Amino acid sequence: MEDSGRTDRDLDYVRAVVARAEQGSSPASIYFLWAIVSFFGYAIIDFSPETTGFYWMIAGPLGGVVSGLLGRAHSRRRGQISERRDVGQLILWSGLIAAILLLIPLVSTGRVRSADLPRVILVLVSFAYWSAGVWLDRRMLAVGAATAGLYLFSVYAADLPWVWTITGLGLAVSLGAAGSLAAARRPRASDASA
Amino acid sequence: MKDDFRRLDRLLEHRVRLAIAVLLIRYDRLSFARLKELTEETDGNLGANLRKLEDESYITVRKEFVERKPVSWYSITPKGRKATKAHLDALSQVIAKAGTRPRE
Repeated sequence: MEDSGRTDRDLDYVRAVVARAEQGSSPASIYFLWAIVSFFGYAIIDFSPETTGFYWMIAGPLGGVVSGLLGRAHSRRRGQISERRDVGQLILWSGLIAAILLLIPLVSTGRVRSADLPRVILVLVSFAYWSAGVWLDRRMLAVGAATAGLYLFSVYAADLPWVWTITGLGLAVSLGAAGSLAAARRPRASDASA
Repeated sequence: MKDDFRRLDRLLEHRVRLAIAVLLIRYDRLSFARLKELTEETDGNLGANLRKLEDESYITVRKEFVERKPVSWYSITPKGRKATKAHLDALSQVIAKAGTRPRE
């Protein structure tokens, strides 16, 4: 007769193994990359607002491509490859870009002031990080929450000098902190034996 | 209930082999080092269990170099995927019926 206690323990073991595999999958390098891109992308609004759009047209897609390459390299070093997860990342972040592009008609028709566009984008970015935190990497939940806080800061402290530089710095700090946590769990390269 | 026990896969009754099979259904490829990290098994134990799964054609292995170091990549075969799903179905039936059996 099957030992149901042993079965329960075995299933608990399998669940624990799977849970371990699901833990934090994004490499530190991607967090640090976006910390730098985000800081300059928001600080530029204070210094040279007319070049902000141009900056993001270049930095956004380029950052996405570099993130994909970094993520792929990380998966190989970590020894865990999932095309389903890679596609999930692609869909999520492409969705964010699409949502941001959908804001353009609001500005071009005058329904939203261009000065408020960065704030609206912060809300979208916050939700994107939150969603990524739920489905892909728990560390992004904190980044999503921090971004929401920075959105509120940008609204209520709108008259503060260098409000966007401070916002960019806040984004960089939250992403950098998440990246530091990721760096604390580095993957191993090769087999000890096979 | 006896039928449900018969449907259990002998190979996957071992928890480490079941964990390996479940992981390889969820992920396209896992390296030996990653499997060892996740299952918390020794090299010898893990290697022996992987060989048993490979001997039954439940998994395949491909060796390559990553950053100039040898890596063995494991992935599940269609036969292994089917066997794992059947085993998990049978296991869930066993557990469900065990839960509804009257206490003696």
